[in-house]
Amino acid sequence: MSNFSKKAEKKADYDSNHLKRTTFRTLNRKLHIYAGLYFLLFIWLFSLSGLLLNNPEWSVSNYWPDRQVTDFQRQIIQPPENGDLAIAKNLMSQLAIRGEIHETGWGDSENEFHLQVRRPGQLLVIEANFEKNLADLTETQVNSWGIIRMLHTFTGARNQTDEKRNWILTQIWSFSMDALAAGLILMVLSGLYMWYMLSRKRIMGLIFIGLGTGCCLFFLFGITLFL
Amino acid sequence: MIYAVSVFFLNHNWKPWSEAETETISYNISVPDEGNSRELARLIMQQINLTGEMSWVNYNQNSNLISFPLDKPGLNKVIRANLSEGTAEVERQHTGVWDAMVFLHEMPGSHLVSIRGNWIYVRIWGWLADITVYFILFVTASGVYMWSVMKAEKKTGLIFLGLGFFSFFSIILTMLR
Repeated sequence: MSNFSKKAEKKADYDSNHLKRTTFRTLNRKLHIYAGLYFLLFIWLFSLSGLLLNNPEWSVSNYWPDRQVTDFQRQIIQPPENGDLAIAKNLMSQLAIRGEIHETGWGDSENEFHLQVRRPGQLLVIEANFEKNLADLTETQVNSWGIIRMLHTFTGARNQTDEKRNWILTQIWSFSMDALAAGLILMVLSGLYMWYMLSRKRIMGLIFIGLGTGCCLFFLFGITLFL
Repeated sequence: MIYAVSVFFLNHNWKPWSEAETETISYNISVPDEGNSRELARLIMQQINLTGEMSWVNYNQNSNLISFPLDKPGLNKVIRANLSEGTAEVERQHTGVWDAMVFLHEMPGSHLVSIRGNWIYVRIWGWLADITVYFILFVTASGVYMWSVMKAEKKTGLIFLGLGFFSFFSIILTMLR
């Protein structure tokens, strides 16, 4: 092979690699921008609600004393279904209630059934009496700050049980939380790549990454190991 | 990253770690058998050189038994002391890095306001969490500004921004309706 063709081959390789790098860089930047824009409101919501949860001494965080509790009674008919969840769903349909069934249970007799339904901003406790065909409802409603705080923790996940989420919107909201977490991880990684490509900012960036990582590692491992 | 990764565990009540074995160590202690339950717990902690975030204290004055948990990221301890006999048992369980992330995600949190942050490191973590949120708010706002001056990305960016607004409001408003 002549010198000329070797040089041409090298140049073609360089061009191909350069094109791949440039394409990846462009895609990475676009992913960073678009993911950030898509998740903007979700990030703001979870940031604000995180601040509220982390600072319970703030007056706006203390929404519970301002809650509105209403008691009322409704006529019901005994659901023909078997199983707590099916009975609860039937009762909710009769009472036109929507939300995640959080808890169900039976009273002293087989005619007394209770359930708790939750959704952001509202908690409902329903005490059904199938003998009297009556349901006593206690509805607790919280203000907008309460709704914001509840959205942060509204996962439908239960401690120590394998019960699944039973409301489609809880499933969607829970999926949104996963998507946001995955999106944030992607944005961090794409941001790291973009920073790494800026050779002039590398040292300063390394100092800040080192400080942040060191701080997190200290809290994750250090305080348990050394303190 | 700690907050983002721990979301998957919290959101699905998922524990990829197996329950670690517990080890129990016994100590002799000398503390007065009356007084404020938290003060007594503090005295016990000082005597057996323990640190951590205390969530609650259970003090039975009739039986003179006191118990309380002391948690750190990745390490749970339960202390049970018999003040009459002057003995204390410390049950330790290493729960690992994933649990440590969940611990840090939830701390200091909104529960047990009156005693939360009784360990200095949980208080410091709370301040760091707040600083991180303020920083995220600043970074997102500056990111939006930088995007707004990039002509090439404006159209597609607006579509993604609009999709995000639509998803956000459609889910939340349907839940609240």
